[in-house]
Amino acid sequence: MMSNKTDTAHHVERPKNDNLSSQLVALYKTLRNIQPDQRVSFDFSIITWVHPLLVLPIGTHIQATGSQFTPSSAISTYLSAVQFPRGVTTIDALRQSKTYIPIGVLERQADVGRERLESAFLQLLMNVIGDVPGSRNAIYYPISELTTNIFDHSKSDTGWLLAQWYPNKKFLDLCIVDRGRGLAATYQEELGLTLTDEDAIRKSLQGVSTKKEKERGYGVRTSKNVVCKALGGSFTLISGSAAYLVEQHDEKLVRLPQFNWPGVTISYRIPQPSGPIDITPYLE
Amino acid sequence: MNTDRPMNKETAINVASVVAPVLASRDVMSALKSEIEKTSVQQVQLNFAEVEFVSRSAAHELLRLKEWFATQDAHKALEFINANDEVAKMLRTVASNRAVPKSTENTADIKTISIIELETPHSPLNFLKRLFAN
Repeated sequence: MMSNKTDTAHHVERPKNDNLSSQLVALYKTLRNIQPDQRVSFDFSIITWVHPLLVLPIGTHIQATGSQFTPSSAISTYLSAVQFPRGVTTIDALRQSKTYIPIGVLERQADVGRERLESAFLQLLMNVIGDVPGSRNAIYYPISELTTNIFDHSKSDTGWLLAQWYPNKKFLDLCIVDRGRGLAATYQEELGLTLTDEDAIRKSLQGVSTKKEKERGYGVRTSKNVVCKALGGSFTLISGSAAYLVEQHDEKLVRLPQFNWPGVTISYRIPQPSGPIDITPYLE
Repeated sequence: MNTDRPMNKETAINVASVVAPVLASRDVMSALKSEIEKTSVQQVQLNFAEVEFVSRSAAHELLRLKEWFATQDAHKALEFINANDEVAKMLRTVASNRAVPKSTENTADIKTISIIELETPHSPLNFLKRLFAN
């Protein structure tokens, strides 16, 4: 909802540049010291360009808390086009926008309707990126693995998806968000492991599943490998007060003091595929 | 396999129609399970002709479904037909991993930094500043 000036304005930080790490820093500075259930009024006045990693988590915060926002004139048309912050829950609404793919809202209760919405979202993505051999698999794989994690593990009933294609720069930014229990609480509640957010992220990268079948738990690490190795992209995962970041094949864990993301946020950037891609070596 | 039961009758289920052209989630495979349960035959073909992609998780769930139906009293044999190359490859990869799971990955080499360090570009000057900070 747009601001009616009843809440204190909270500036949304502008990323220093286009990189995923700068987007992460901007998100951190924007949401630092804001509680997951706190109502605020987000002021986008200095934002001239929208990055999925910045706007989608803020959009879910607005939805979850009844917070408000004021867009800058530079981004108001875009935000309307992607149906920020509400998003869309039907295929018809998803296909209505002629310029941008709206925020896709995946709801547990929609069952196969959710799967069909995700299919339509992925097909729209392929339309804008263009198909080269193997690219469909490479694009679909991480999105499908990371969204199924929401409904298998997070205990959240909703997942959000936002993609932004940059035709001149020829790369795609994608963000997947849930406001569930997060990785540390998942390991605690399912396996009795008491972990910091940082260690919980390590466990998920190691492939430690909370399910009893040994062949499970590959989703995050294989998705990261498809994005970074098969597609040459960058990747970040945020849970609680920690993040994992891979840029130019350099991976690191990042501590985020006074910050608490209630669930898991994943974002990645991939360059437009230009030649055949084989994800098989990364599936394990 | 129970050979007392006739296996000559079969039916085909269009997977994309029942679920979606992209099979991503585990939990929605229950829709496919319900559809299979409705059939009265024991040979059920799951037709993947219109399926573009199967995620690793969905492939795992499909294989579990196949095993589950094979071991139930109302034994049903599931056959995956008309899968494109990529879907077939995913099913094979997951099936082989199910037989011999891989070990966990070592993450000890991943360094931890503060968000402040992420903001500060790396340069020899920064190193010298830190060195002489005290």
